[in-house]
Amino acid sequence: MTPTATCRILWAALLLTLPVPYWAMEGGWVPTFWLVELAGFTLAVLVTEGGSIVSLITGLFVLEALLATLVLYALARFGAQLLLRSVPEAWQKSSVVLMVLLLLASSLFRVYTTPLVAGGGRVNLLQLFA
Amino acid sequence: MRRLPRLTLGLVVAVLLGAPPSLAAEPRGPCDDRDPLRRPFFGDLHVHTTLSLDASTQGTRLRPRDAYRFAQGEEVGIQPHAEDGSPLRRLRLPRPLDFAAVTDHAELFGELRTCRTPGLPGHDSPICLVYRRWPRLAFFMMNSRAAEGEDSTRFHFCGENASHCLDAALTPWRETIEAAEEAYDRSSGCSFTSFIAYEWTGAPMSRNLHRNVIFRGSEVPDLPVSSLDATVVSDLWRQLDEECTTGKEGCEVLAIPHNSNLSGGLMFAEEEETGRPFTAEYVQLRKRSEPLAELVQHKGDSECRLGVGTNDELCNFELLPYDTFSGKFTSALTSDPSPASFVRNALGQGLLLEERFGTNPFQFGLIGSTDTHLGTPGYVEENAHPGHGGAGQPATSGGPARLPDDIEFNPGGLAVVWAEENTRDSLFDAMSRRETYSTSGPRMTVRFFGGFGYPGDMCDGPDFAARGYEDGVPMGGELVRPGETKAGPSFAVSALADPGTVAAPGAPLQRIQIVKGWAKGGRTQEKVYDVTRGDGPKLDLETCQLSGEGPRALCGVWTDPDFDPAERAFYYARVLETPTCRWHTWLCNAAGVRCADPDSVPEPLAPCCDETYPRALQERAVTSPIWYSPGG
Repeated sequence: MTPTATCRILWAALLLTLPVPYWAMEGGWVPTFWLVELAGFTLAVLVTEGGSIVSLITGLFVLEALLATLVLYALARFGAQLLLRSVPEAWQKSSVVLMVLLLLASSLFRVYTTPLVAGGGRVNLLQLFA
Repeated sequence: MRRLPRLTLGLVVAVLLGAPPSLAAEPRGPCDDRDPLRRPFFGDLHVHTTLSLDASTQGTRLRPRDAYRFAQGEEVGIQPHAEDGSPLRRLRLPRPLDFAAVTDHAELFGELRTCRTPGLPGHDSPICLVYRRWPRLAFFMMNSRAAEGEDSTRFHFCGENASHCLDAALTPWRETIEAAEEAYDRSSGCSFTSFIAYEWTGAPMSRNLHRNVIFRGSEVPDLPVSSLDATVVSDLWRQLDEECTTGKEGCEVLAIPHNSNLSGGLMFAEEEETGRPFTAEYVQLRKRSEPLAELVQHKGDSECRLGVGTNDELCNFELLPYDTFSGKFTSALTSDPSPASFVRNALGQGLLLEERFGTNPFQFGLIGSTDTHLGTPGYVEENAHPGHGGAGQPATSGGPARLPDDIEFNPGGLAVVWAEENTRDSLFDAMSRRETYSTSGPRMTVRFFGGFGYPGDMCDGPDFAARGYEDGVPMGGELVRPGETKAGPSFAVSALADPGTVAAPGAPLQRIQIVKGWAKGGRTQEKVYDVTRGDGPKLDLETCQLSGEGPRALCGVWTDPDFDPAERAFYYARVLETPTCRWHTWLCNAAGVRCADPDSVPEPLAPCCDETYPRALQERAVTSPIWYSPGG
């Protein structure tokens, strides 16, 4: 596997599954994809309706989604380099698949929390996007 | 004064009091149990249902009709709901209310209906998509957008001149009206009174200026005047004048401000919220429009705050740690509490304003209510608080896992109205003359009269009320000094403990106080006097049980020892119960929390051990003031 492909696969998996902290009036731990989805919707509201608090909320979601995306990219890149350096070439593909599967499996546990879903209780990835 | 026989005195007072109301809402016969000496009626004038944005976004599904059914003693189901839609909690009032008003937020009536009704123009707008997908996020975005003070405008999805949303708003307003009309008992049994009402929800910069708008009868404007139509409070009063009082025959209305504790000093400031100085026209309009203020409710008590213009330690009661809505979410938006956020300071300030304008704009009586956002009026049970979901907070199933409400909130209070009978006219007249009081929940019965010359043994006689009316004025009244007498006014206060229910008997009384405020040399002063008190039982905080007996009734006649006939003054009575467990203590005890043992305190129940919030509280009734002015 090329370093770029490894990095992209890990990055996507991290974006989808790794809980990151956020705050927009209230806070929680959610995957970056969810933040991006919220940023998109709130941006659409801001464009169509405006409003100072709407601007604030949208700004926070957009900023935090961007920040999380960048941080996770750096993490994925570091992880990819580490993996390609330390794992024999024949095992690299399996290792990447294994890491992605581990991340996806862990996302099925209730590791996310946001007041916007299930009254703030802990939820898994499927419940979060339901 | 020579004592008249009880019957004679009663008849005289009955004739005096028995004058017909100023404006009849509708022709109807008298009630079977009409009492010319008046009775206390217990009610709730601040109730939200699913028609309010903040209630709907936290799962409330009860509608105005359900709320009135609940007020009359029927059981209802409340959130959270199972996947099949069935409610997971059920509630019933231990004792029905006498009256109620559903006061849903008028601002987003049409917007909410649009977002919930497929096919309506705007239903697929981004904000409606957010409302349906993440209701809580929509609460922040829509509520803030609608409450941005003078800059607030209608949502763009409402179309040109907001025509789509105004059309859509007709349906929930009609539902509000019909629910109140159906629930009103027009029979001679007079079991229940419902008022058509709504809430005007202006909050510039998240500083609360909300008003509940209560109509006397069934004649009401075609649509409620919301803060999107009247962005400042004085415009609300003027538009209500135009669209109701003078513009519609038979229409009469009053507005009740609430949560001055969340107004950031704006509610009782000495200028309008726009910074415009008061004018004579403004103070007259305010006095005429707002005969009452809500003192206590789910989101805290607004009577007074220790250190903010008072050293009264009993002011430390159900206080919030922030003074604006946004302060809840970030301490950076909370300032030092302002005296203008509290009712007692406002009553004092009103005396000074009266000297300046000849009219006291803060001459209001007092009530309590719940501000429930579950659609459950009057549910004030401290030992079974379901959470009221105020300010958009989700009311959850609670139980051992977590508290059902934020720790700083409380079950709310009740409005008590002294009226001849349980009809719209009688209750509305009583509210207009301020013959009302507030309780923090318990159904204490409190009489309060002021006059010159009440006998010291007035409490011993059987004609306390008749004598009170005959020789003075009741709570909410204005005292006139007879001649040039130098003697101070006397105040007669009688209080009966809440009898409670068989399952939950009411607590005994502890004391009666009179709070006096007066104006001297352009400044206001205050003093709290104990009138009478009794020894109460002891409270076991581990079981919330009281051991021992305490007074079930207290009564006293108090003469102001510091009276100066030249000084304007107000006096109100405060009746305190013996300490009992606060709502969270009941729940935390039931969950087995022992703060000395950290292992018994799971993280969601950590608020149980927050020492900012006392485990016990003193429930109370606070009467409308009686005013004295040198000019009579």
